[in-house]
Amino acid sequence: MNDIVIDVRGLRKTYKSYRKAAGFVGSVRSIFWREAVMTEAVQGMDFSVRKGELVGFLGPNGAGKTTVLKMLSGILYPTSGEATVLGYKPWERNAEFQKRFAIVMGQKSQLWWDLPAMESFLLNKEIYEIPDRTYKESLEELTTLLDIKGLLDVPVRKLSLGERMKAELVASLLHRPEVLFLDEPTIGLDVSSQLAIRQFLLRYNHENETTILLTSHYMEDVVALCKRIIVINKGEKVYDGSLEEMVRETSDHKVLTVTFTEAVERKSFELLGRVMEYNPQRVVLHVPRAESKQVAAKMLTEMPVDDVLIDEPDIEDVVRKVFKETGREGLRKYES
Amino acid sequence: MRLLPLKLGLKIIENSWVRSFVWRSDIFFYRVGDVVSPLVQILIWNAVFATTTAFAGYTKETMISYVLVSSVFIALSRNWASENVGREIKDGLLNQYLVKPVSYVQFVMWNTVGRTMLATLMALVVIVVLGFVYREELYVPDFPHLILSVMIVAVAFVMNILLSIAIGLVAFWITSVEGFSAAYYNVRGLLAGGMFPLNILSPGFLFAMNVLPFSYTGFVPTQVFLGKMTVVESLAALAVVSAWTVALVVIVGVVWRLGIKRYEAVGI
Repeated sequence: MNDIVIDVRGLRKTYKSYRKAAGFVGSVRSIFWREAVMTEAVQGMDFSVRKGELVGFLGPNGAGKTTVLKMLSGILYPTSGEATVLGYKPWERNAEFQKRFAIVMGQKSQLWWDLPAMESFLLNKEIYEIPDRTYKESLEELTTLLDIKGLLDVPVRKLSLGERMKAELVASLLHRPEVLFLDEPTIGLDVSSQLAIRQFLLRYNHENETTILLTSHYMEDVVALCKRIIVINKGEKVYDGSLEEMVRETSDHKVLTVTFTEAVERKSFELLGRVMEYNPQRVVLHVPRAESKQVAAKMLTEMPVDDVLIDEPDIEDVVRKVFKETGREGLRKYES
Repeated sequence: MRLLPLKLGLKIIENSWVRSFVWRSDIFFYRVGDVVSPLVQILIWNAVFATTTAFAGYTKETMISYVLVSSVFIALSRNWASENVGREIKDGLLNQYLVKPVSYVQFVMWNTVGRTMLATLMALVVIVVLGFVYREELYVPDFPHLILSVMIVAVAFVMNILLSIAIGLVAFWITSVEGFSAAYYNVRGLLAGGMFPLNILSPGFLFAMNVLPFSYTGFVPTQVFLGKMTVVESLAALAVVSAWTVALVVIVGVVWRLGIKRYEAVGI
């Protein structure tokens, strides 16, 4: 069964920039003499994505996430390597391909700033040659789902960040793309707007089988949306698989949170695991993964336990650890 | 290359008009600027013709006609596309066009037509008022010269947009074209004959101007209008400006293809 929608093989991108000394003298010197610096933004990336998958791209700032999205959407030419999206080479910018995908950039608007969002929608209708009926149906469906029907005639510059992002999504989805790239779609949004966007994306992906590739700094986005994640650091893929599996693989401990009906001394826990938080009636322990059940059982029988919670480590901590370890020289890769 | 559908082109023009009207006070103040240059020139030439009846082959009547007509022609053929193109490349705004099934260069052309049409309509109002004030001195051409001068301006308009786009695209190499673009606008105004008729200078300079594209946006069509060029000479001028337009279509295409591979799409 060949339902692979995005296929990336050995993709590389090297940026050329110039080093410039600080200050006025440095600026004058740089007019005549500049030192070129080559930055390897993406260093030979391989992955593929199947139809309908919702994949999260994780990585610290400058890891190369956005550069990959830019190459896959045809904005950038790769330095070397191959990639196909829906069977097309993105950087050839075939019009038929462009009618079948969309990219939403959280920090770059495609809407006309001074005009109501509706003007941008109408322009996109002509650009994508969307038939009248499809346009009307898509507009109705999207503006209802995202709850921005009343804002279509307000100039974009007067919208809040959350409202603007919803309008960006409408503008990008009017032509019903099969592949959607989302670069930081919830950046800067308040919690309720983030939630609204997340719920919308989940529903949209589910109902339309849209293939979605998403980058985000917010772990909540990734946890809520993506079954599969690709972690990249310093331009290389360091993990590709499910989030749960990454947590299991990279952390050798579980988190035990225990509350007591009576005060318990701190030293009682010292042989059971690493004490992370303590007050006489509550303790948080890091316990070796294999021993977590026994330790819980022991505490239940030997201590005045009110409640026990066995949890995976905090995902943010796990990801931070992965970033740190993979960012060092002598890169360590996690295999799924 | 696929041409943009007419419906999309008209939508782009409409869009540029709607945007222009958002900033109504801007429209007004730009037009105040339009009146200054021809007015100053008329005052200077009035002073010159106070002591003489002829200057470099011009009478007071033909000189004032030159100022008014060349102002109209330059207003008809001008645009500000190079700044916009340069900024969109520099700031990475080009991205949104690259991911859509639309040719950026053609989008800019339609958008420039929209912007320029509106600005020109406003400028015409100003110049018609000046024309009315100086109606006694205004030269009235015969029909063939009128048609030929308008045809030259129409082709020069398209050529000028292509030239601006080509200059804006230089941003692929030098990142910021703002300085370059500002210098170009000034030189363009001078070489178009917007400050004085080019034939008051040496024949060598005039020859160079006939070869370069700039004079076809102002000076040359005004000479045709004023009957200072024969019909055959006017047709030759039309051929030169058309050749420049075709050459610029090729140049813009090549510069775009070379530049886009260097594009680094900064700052998403």
